Amino acid sequence: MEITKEEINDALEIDIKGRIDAYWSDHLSRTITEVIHEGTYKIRLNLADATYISSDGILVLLKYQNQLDTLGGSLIITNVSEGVKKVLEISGFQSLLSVGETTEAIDFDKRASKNRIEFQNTIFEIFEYSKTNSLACSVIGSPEPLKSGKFTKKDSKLLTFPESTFAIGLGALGNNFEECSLRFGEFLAVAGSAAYLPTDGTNVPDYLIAKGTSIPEMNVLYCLLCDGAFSNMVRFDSKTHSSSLTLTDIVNTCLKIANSELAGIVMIAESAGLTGTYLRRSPIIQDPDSHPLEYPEIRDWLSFTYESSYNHCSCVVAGIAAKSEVQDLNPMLRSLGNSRYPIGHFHSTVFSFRPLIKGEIDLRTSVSTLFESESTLAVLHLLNDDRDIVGTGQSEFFRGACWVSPVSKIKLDRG
Amino acid sequence: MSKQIYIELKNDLSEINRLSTKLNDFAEANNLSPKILFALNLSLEEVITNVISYGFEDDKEHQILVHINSIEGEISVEIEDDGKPFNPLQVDEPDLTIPLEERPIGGLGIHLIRNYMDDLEYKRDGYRNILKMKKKSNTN
Repeated sequence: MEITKEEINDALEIDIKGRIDAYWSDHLSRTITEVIHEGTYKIRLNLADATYISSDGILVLLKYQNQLDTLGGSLIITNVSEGVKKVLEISGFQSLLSVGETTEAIDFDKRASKNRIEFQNTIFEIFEYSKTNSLACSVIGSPEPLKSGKFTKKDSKLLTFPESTFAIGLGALGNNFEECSLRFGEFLAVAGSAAYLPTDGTNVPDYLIAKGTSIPEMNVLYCLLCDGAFSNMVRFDSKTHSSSLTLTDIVNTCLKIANSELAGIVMIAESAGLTGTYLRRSPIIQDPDSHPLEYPEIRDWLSFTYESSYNHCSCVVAGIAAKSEVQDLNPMLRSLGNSRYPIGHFHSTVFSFRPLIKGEIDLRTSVSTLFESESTLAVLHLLNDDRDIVGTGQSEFFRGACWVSPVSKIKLDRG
Repeated sequence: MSKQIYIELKNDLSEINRLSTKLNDFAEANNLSPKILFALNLSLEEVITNVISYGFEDDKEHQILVHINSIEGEISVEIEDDGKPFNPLQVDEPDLTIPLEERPIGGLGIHLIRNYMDDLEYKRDGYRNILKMKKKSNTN
């Protein structure tokens, strides 16, 4: 069997030459699994040169037609030879051939994004929403008390995160400060969904998804909150299987696309190893001599990822990044990689893997689908590990989608 | 020119490739139509993959013997294996009126064989399964 693949916009045509028998159907199965993993949900299988099919081959076609249907895509089978067609008819599976008969033209002629750029081994596709869209960024509270672990009740605020916002910081889900005081940890809220890592020892992220008119609420010690609309969506994918992009590469491209010194970025991506940290204890303490961020106490307070963790996971990443210093945001922005700039602050929620459909996608739907369908594995503050030799560097990603917008306004609410 | 062939297959799915090459040679030698060749390929594969996948309860290597003969407008196929007793002719016909997603998967192979072959016969001989299949080759 010979398999050739050709991309047509966000769909893929696969040509099969030879026999789809008990031996080769496994090969076909692996090819389609891989293609779906990479985010292609629209597949046209051209069987013009497939001379033969047996029951094992039919089961592969059936399996992937069902799977793609569930994922909102389609497997269209075209140009079947007389011999193959007869086997399908006798099997009672001629309906395999009718999928997409009416939608084929739409699927395959859908407009392609006009704007593609290539960088190293990566293709970026840019979808423009509106050049005039921008974000207002609020700094609520301050991370300063973290140094001494002395956040108090007066630092805690109940904030809501409607669909138009995204936020990262320290917070907890709960009805009041008292309920949250032993649980505060890193959180991330994006497009109506929110997750945080409780510091009460459970180590399992807790989350909320907006349903109907309800909006996620969280007790927050401090956060960066962006509100507004994105100017662009950007898809990125490596041209080779194994190559990945660093967070810095992605951020630099997003800053360029947003055409701004300072930009807000939300990303859904497949990780190629994450480097980061999370709080192990809630920073509400009584001991006046405590210094959580100093050695050796820091070991009790913060967990760091060993090696680079979470390979091939789905991530929702949110934060802001700048090409140079932004006074109002000091000290929240730090170097993302080994070079001084860009600087930024990003949190990530990590999920078990779910392929992300190619092309233009909706942020709210994509994020809530992850929360609803996959398990949440972690919430991390992404940090560069720049230790000599043993350092694991920064987080990397294989492919994904970014939503980006310039930050046009910074509001300080030190409360 | 030899009108019959004997093929010894191991219980490994990659043997399907070798079987198909042998069948091509046989079809050429006997001047069989592409449709007859297709029917032989399909029926033999369905029987043999079933034997390979479900016939043996140990991890050892087994031989599956195939004998194909062409006499007076009829192809006869005999498949012999030393797997556990299994009479494919007792498998129920799949109900093709049930919607695809609710239909049980098993039985598709034997359903295809019944449609592509003209005559089927099974016997258990000692510790061996013997399946005989016949296909008229002088019709299309």
